[in-house]
Amino acid sequence: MWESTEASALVDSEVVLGNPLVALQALQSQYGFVHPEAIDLVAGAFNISRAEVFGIVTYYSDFRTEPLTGTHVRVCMGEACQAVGARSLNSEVEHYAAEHSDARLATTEVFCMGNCALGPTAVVGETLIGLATVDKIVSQLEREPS
Amino acid sequence: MKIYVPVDSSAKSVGSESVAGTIRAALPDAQIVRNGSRGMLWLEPLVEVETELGRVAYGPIFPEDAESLAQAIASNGTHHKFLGVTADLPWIREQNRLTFARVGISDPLNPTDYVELGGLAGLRNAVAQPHTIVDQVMTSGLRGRGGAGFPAAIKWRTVAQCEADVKYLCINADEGDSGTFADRMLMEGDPFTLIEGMAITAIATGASVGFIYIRSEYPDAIRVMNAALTIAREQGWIGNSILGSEFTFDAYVRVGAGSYVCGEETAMLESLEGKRGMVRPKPPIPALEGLFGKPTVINNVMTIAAVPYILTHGGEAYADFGTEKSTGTSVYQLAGNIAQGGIVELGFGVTLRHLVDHFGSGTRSGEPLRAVQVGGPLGAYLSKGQLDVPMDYESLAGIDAMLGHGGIVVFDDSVDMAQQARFAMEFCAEESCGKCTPCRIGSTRGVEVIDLIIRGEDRAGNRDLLVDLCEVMTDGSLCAMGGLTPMPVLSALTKFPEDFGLLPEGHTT
Repeated sequence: MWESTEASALVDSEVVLGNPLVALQALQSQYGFVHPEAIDLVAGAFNISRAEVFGIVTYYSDFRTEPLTGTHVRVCMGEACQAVGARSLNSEVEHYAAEHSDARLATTEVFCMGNCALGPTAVVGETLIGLATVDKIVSQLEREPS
Repeated sequence: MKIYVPVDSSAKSVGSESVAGTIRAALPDAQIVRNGSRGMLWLEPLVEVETELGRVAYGPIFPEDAESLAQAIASNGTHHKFLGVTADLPWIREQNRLTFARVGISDPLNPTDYVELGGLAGLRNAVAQPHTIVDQVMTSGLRGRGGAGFPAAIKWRTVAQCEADVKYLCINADEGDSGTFADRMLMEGDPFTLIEGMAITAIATGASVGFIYIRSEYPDAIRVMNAALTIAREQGWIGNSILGSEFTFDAYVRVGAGSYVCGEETAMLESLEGKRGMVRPKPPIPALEGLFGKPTVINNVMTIAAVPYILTHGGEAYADFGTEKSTGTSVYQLAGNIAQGGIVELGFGVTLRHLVDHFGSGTRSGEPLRAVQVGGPLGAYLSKGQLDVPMDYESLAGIDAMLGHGGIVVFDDSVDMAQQARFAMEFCAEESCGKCTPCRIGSTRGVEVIDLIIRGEDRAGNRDLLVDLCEVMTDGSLCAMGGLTPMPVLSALTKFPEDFGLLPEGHTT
């Protein structure tokens, strides 16, 4: 849950050695997403415009402006994983997600997790899965805290 | 008894954590060492046991094999996944492991092991004779491993000659190319080598602050590097007085936020300053005006990790490996549809065929090889007929290809090269920073034109249009993102025209 005083202290702790990007990363790591109030907070702390902060948030694909619903499943779509069937794995995972809306998972594509000799690669929550199949992904999903 | 179970993230992706847990429970008296990976990734999880013969290997030990392996070890019995003495395995024995000498040997965060395995000798020599560092690196012929291949010593000399209140050293660990994982494995498996290389570079150039820019997709590397920096400070390897000398240097990890173009050096500087990762025009070059406008050395992880060897054994010893112009070793990464994927460190000049056929043992699927992409998403697709190319900067440039960061991605005959060409444009459209028009707009137009060709609309005319667009992107883009995207596109178009419904060049209907 977003808590303004705590968030403000977190941003202040990054002002000396950090930068706006580091502060936004700290906020997302704490709250799971970049809260609308975070824009004002970071702009004020670093004395830059809200537009600049908004620009940073929208530029980098890691930032979310809304919380994730459910477990995050990422399928690698880099060339090395494509060479071992990532395209079809990704469609299968999306198909699974569509059929199991109760499973509460958010799927996205990523480009390269550096596991290119053991593809296809997927990440379920924070767990990296090599030689990935839908079965392996689903069984990891079941182990994730909901 | 000592048992090694890798903690490398690739090994973990196929179950090494569970394997370590099973073995620990079954053999409570054994000492379990969590080492880096030996680089034989198709054998991961690779479990090693210390015996009278030396370290012997078993692999791949998937979680379901762990119990039977533990029993075999306990009873001195045999196991069907026994491979032999690790150091005698041909894959290891036939390599020249200079940069990767210590990766996979021991606990990556044990400073005593690091020194026992030959670490720190380069830094000691650097502290004793700081004025010879640049000369040694010049003699070694070390060139930038990020892809551009610029001589490291020339960059360092430029920064060393600058007068400034502060100079920076930025390590590019934004290893975003698909098919590359050498930086990750070194940072996870032997982080002190990178730190030692950074300290030597700092002494040579006068840099007092360093940043290691690691992509957020590498959480393990981030954790290990942060821990290693803390240990290195405690040991006095970096900090206020490097090894008790007058030299001061400290370094910090900065984490990327999911932008491929931040691997481009000027975009990385913007990101390190906390801004959007937009490319800067050059000049000024970063060596003169880099991070926060100060003189800045920017090198790849692999470049800096080669430096401790050079300072330990001398520039000439390093230059003994490789070819006349591409000296030293390159860390090749075998990836994609390959039977034996992993790390092969060899002198420059080995042929692509030797890497793919001999080390890689062909495709993983067993189907015929059709294409090999060398050098990441911006590298050329090579056909079967081009496999005899020597893997060095000059030879690859000679066939309109590039070494890049040393990634080698193998495709079998199920690949559709028109789709791969389309993907290259799509990737560029997705990842372009948007600063220059040829890259920002050209990539989107590129996807559209390739779609027209795939659909069969005026194929010859649209091919000419695509070639023309590629020329504009190559010549008019601000950085390598837009400038090199045509390389995979045109190589696919030229070498595999049949996938686009086109006849080979020179043929008419």
